[in-house]
Amino acid sequence: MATVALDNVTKIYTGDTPSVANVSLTIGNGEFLALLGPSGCGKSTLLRMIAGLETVTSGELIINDRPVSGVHPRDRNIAMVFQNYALYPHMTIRENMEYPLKLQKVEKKSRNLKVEEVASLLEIREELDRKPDSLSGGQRQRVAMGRALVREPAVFLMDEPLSNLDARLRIQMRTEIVVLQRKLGITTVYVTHDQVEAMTMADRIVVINKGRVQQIGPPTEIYGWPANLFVAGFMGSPPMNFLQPEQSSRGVRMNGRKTAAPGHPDSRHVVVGIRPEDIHLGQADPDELSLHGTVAAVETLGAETLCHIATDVTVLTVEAGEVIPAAPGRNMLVVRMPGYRVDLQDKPVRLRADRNAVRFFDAESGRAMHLDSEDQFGPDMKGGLGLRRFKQVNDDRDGASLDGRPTGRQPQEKGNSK
Amino acid sequence: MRLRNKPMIGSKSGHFTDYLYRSRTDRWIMAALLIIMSLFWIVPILAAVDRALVFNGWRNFQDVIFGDIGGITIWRTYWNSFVIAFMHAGLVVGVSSLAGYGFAKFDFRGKEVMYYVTLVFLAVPATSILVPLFYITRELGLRDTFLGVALPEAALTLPFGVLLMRNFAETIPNAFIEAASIDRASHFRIYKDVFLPMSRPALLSLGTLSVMWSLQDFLFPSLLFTEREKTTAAQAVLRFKEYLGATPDDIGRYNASLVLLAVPALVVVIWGLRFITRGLAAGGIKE
Ligand SMILES: Nc1ncnc2c1ncn2[C@@H]1O[C@H](COP(=O)(O)OP(=O)(O)OP(=O)(O)O)[C@@H](O)[C@H]1O
Ligand SMILES: [Mg+2]
Repeated sequence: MATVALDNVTKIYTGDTPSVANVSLTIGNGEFLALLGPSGCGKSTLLRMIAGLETVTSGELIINDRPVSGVHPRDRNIAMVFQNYALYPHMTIRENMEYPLKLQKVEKKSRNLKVEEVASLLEIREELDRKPDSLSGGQRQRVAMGRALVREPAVFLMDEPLSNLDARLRIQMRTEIVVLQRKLGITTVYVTHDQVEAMTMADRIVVINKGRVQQIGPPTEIYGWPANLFVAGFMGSPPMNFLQPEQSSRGVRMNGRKTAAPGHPDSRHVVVGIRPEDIHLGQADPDELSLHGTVAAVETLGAETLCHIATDVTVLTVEAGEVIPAAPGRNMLVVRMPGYRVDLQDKPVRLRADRNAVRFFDAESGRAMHLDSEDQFGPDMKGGLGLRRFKQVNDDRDGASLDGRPTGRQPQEKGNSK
Repeated sequence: MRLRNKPMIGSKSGHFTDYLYRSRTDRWIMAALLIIMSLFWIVPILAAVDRALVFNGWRNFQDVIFGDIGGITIWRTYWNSFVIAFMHAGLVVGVSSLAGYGFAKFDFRGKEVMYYVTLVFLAVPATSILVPLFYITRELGLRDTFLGVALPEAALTLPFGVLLMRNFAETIPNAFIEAASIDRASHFRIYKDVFLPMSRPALLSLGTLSVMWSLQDFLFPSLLFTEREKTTAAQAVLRFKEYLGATPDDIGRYNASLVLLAVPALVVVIWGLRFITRGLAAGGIKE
């Protein structure tokens, strides 16, 4: 049981570009926190600093109210699951799992008991006397978790533990890890570059880019109210559509209809963001946004269809922090719709979008405008009211999913199937 | 193993051709060269066996195996050789594995400089340190002891051992060491419980080579042993010659002893070959 706090933690390997820059966050007791970001953004470095495998260049790291920057990994009472599992090939599964206990001079009898207990929990009792190389990927993964669990660590660190598994097993293991973590209540930091993993597993997600924290929040908030263009473009596959609105002193308009943009936006350029699942086929009501275009390409995923729609509004792409308008004639909107819709190919379509589903960003800074607005727009970050409202919307419309799976936790699924 | 798994370059469809030598003529030339080269090794051995059989035939071997020559049996020389060889191998494997682990998995100031200085000693010939060695072993009271021979031998083998062990250690992913370290293992425990077992192929290979090289060492025993009982198998080649005269019996016996004296090293090589190849090839293992 433990809390972990990072205060302005920075890591510079060489030169002066930090791999991790000024990260401050607090991880609550028993919380499951995911570090999410593209390759090379510094997730592993951050995790390894918490583990004590890398030194902290500046800032302070606090585990259970104790500063640990100078403390050796072995004295931090943490356990870590490595990407390649790092199971000792010359030891049996039993020996692998009891090794941490052996090092703590736990006597043989209680060692055996503990190993058996954890092995039953992870359903690897049958495998105890085999060597790691004779196990399947999923079993190895479990053994690696088991070895980390026998010690009852205060903090559990995992660096992309599922990335070596095939897609099916990954989905199964991610549920199992969540269930286990819930059951044991161990504070967990989980590194991944897979947004689906982060969305489905974590209590809170920390989105990182280029060593800097972009946003910290519960999955629904990260997905529903991205703090900036990076998060908006990173979360979701396909990501959010970015559009250029018409701007005048009378407000921000899309195709002539007034949007719900907050504040006084005429002083700065606004980027409008709409998630693919928030755009629907059909004639817009007077209070909805209206778009139209021609379906240029259809991707069918079985339960749903992604339509790439050529439109005459200006579509924006965000590259390396720059907002770039698409070339004329290449303005493609992505729309996600239920069902199998090959029939839409090459058809002209009318589209509508709820004004509340639209997000606004400052084109200059990339920052989400709801963060700066004084009025009631956006989620109430302190009270969580807005968040609850969003969640409800999210559940109702049944479409805010990544890769077709519901975004909420799904441990019950496993419980039921048992 | 690894080469064979790669796709064959330039292979005709369905035709399993050799990776490097594609044309038929190439292969004939290659085979011819190999045969000629192997003759260089085979002919002397056959000649030695042949000459060992002159005059008395197999009795020459019987005499050497069951009798003694100039007060020392061939068994005694085997024993001496192996004691030194195993001492030498133990020293080399022990020190090289520690050094390899340190060089590969620790960062300390002057690491690379130290490493290259160590490697430079690969170039030091044994003969150039003979004279100082002669005095050093006397001062240390190591003259006429097995350790007195094994130590200088180890000094000369160590640069190679360190090179081999560092290269091998580099292939062991750091995650193993980090995992153990997070699980509260001390550095010595990591070395003992994780590094040594995982380095088995390299250690066996280095150990076998060390035994083999020591068995072949003629120089140090000759220089540092004065007592007859300490004679090693490699050294006995010369010592036996002093005792066996020019009579037909003795010539036959001498040649028989030459063949027999070569046996230990041969046995070690044949038995240890798999370790050697495995360990030296182990640099490329994955996971
Ligand atoms: N030992 C090191 N020495 C120098 N630079 C390093 C070292 N380790 C990482 N870096 C640099 O720090 C940055 C962050 O690396 P890190 O491994 O933390 O990324 P990551 O988010 O885990 O990426 P991935 O998803 O690919 O694992 C990268 O630019 C990397 O090149
Ligand atoms: Mg990483």
